[in-house]
Amino acid sequence: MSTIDGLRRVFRIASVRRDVKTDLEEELDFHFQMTLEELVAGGMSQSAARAEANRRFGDLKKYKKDLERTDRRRVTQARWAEALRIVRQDVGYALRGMRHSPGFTAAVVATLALGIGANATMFGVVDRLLLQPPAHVKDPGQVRRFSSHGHWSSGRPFDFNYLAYGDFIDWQAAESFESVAAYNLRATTLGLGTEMRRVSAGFASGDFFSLLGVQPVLGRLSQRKDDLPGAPPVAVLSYGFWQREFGGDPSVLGRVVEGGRQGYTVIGVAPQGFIGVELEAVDIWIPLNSFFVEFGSEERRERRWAYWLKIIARLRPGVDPSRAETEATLLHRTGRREMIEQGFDADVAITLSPIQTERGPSASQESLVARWLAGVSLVVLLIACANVANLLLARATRRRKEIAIRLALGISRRRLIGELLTDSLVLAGFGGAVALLIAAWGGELVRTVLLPDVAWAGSPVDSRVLVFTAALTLITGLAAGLVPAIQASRPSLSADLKEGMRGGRARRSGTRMALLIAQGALSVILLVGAGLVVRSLQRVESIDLGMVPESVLLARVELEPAERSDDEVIRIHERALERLKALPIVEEGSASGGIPFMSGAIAELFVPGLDSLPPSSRPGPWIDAVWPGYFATMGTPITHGRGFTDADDANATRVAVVNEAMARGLWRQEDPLGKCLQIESRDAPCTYVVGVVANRRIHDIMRPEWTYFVPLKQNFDLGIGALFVRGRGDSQQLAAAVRRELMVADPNIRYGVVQPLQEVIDPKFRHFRLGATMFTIFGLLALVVAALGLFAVLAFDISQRTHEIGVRSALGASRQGIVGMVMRQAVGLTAAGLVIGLVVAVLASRKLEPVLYEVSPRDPLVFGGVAVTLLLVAIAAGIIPAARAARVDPVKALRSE
Amino acid sequence: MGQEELKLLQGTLDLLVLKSLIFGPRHGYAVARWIRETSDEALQVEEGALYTSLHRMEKRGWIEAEWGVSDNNRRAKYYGLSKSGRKQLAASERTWTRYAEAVFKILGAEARA
Repeated sequence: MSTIDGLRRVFRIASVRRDVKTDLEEELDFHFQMTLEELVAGGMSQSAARAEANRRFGDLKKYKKDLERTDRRRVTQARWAEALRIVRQDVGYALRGMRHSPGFTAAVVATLALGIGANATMFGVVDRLLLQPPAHVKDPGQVRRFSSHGHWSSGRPFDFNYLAYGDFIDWQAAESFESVAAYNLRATTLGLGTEMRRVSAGFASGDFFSLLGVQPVLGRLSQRKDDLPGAPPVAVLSYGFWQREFGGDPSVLGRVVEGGRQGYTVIGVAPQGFIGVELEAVDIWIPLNSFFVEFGSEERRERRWAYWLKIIARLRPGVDPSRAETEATLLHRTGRREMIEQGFDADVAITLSPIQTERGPSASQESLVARWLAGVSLVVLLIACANVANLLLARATRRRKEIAIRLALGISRRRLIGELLTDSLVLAGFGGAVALLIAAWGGELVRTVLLPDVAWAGSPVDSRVLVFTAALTLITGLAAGLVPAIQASRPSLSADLKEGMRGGRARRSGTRMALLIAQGALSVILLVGAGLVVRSLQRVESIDLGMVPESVLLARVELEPAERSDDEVIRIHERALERLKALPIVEEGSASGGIPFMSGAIAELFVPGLDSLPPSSRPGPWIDAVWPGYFATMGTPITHGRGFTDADDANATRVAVVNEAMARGLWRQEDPLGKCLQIESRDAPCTYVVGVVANRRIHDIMRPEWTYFVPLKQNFDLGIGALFVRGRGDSQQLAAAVRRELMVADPNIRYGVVQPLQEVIDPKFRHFRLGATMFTIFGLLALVVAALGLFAVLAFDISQRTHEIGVRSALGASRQGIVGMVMRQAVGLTAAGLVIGLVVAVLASRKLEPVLYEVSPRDPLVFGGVAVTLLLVAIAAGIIPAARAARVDPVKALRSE
Repeated sequence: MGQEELKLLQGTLDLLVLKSLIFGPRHGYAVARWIRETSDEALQVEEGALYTSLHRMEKRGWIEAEWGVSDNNRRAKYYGLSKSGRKQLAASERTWTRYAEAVFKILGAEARA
């Protein structure tokens, strides 16, 4: 019936396609001819007849215009109606088809949902990290971020996204920039007594808000005048903080928030969702000048080597960014002329990168991994597409005869392709809908696990993810459906009509085999990637950190703001540490200036007998000032000599402990004990090495860096960064006890932040864990999809070849022979995919190197493992179809046709 | 002739055109001629308006057009009633007759008074 419909439609479309104007001309022409003939036959002259005909018709021009317009509308309307009817019919047809084969439908929808869902999830992440500009920023394309890059003398490259205050001042004078702003985000303490809490503060220079073009929702935002030395301390609240802490009360303006030395007067509230230009949430914005006051570090303004500010600029309209970079580089180099002359930063240059942090050179490892995962999810989708295309092809093969009949009856190929494409689009539509569920769930997971520090706004499925998913669904539907549709619409008519259901063995579709092989190859590539990342994670987790961070707590103490001498500061900490050590669950305690993976210092170092330090010491050597008991507390073994004691005080001989890397680097096989180090100057008195400790990782978790330690009482340049406590039992309980004790230990202590040291170290592994987890999930997903695809094709193939297999066994083929035939096919196809996949993986895996650790991109274990896995999967996928083939009863099979 | 020409009342044209097609498909010229002759030339319709009516009703789906060959062997566009056209015709005819009857009743009543 639908064929006859089709026929009728074919003709109607043809008549509709005729040009409206010609039709109209011809119709009216006929009318006038007839009228003229009639009138002339009635005895009129030609000219009189013509006049009469025109009179009868009326205003020809006007009527013609009207008629043409009516006709055009009619044609358009008819075309739309026709298109709609076809779509409705095809969709109905597709839905009926889905109801008829629920198993097939479920397989296709699930495959597509996983593929599209993985992509929708990763898009949500990548969109936030790389694509969307920060909220509320006007014309974000003109806002750039400064970073400096160059090489250490060791040849290793460096990239700093933190810069000096002096750079900020210098760049303000540059011609290329309309405006320059600097900021520093850090935790600070607000409130008094029980109201006290840690908040995330943004210390931003005066032009920060005006540069970004942000408008307040309440009051005003801070301006340049608020940032001048001596200006009354003010604060701008973030919208979230205002809602959370003040219930959105507008009378908050003018209130003083306790914090810093004098408290901050609230002058305004930033718009909802504004978090500056980073990805972390900020609770309160404070002028940069308060930073110097609060942390008592006026000298930071002068220090060119103190890299602590992030700096952004708005380009002057029409200024070429590369010209701006040249100007910024020149100013940067002029500002640190002395350092450059001393051989530091010899090739330093400034880069202006887009405002999205993760797009620039300072992209985090996490976003690097996220990019990889986005790419991987695309491969998963490709596999899913190949799989679905294969299933559709198989189904089209089953419908070959029906299609041939319809073609013979005159349905156009275009219509047929349209119908088959609608089919795959409807399936993709369902897949896309399920994919949104996956994205909502997966997005939440990735947010909390992969990127917990990012201030996420809204649900993982926002309007952009929706649009992306819709577009991807459409593309997927077309991609998966196009080849099967074209193939199906091009059968050799006579052959298909003549053959029964058993036919078509010869055309057991090269396309389908190719798709299977492609699927196999792609999943091999993913599995190799996953394997390499997992091996890296294993390596990373087995790194000897040179310390035992478990059950070590890190306690950072914030003192009440006041002027104090170094001795006073040391005494306050000593008293506090004594009280902590008195706790029964605490075993050891110490303190240091630097904090592993958080803060540290490099001082100039001279060694008698050496002109300069070897390049391998850079970045470094790191200096850290520590209290006695530090190595025992941290679990760092002393391999030679001694650690520090209470006797190593300001009056004693200056001593140092070096790590093994440094000892070996400086003195090779010689005994380092008693060697002389000159800190900061060639004329400085000797600091004698008294001990050697294991290579403790300081800032780079991947490699040991040169480090030496001095007694804190002999070197207070770094101040006291943190107290360290080693205790017994659960670290959370321990942390709570230590925090309680610390808060009452001394009236000078305003606040104590206590956290397990592990919390500082874990994020360093996070991108490895996440990369490994997600890569493995995607890899397994790909493997399952590919295995299902292989299984489906083999099973379908067997069902199509029942007759042939019947003949074979009737002719004496053994069961083993038939099983072997099927298994050969399964393994053969897989092996082909495997070989291609491995070759591509060998060529491509080099690219993965930046996210690997101590694993060769051609790790034989990984490649071998993947090969074995894939072949095992092929065998598993082949077993059931093979068994089914072996059970074919020749009598039944031959009788059935 | 001789009689005064009547202007067509609003909305009547479509009805007349539909009616003209009740005996089978006709081209525009035939419709015009049929209306002229059947009304004894009392109704004056501009033929342009007639074609407008035809095309409008084709767009509405009341009539369907098809190219055919006329008696004198020329290509002509023939219009035929569609199903919905027939319905429309019946409905309009009913309305029109009731309307005319009502008018006649009133006119007759006036004569008796």
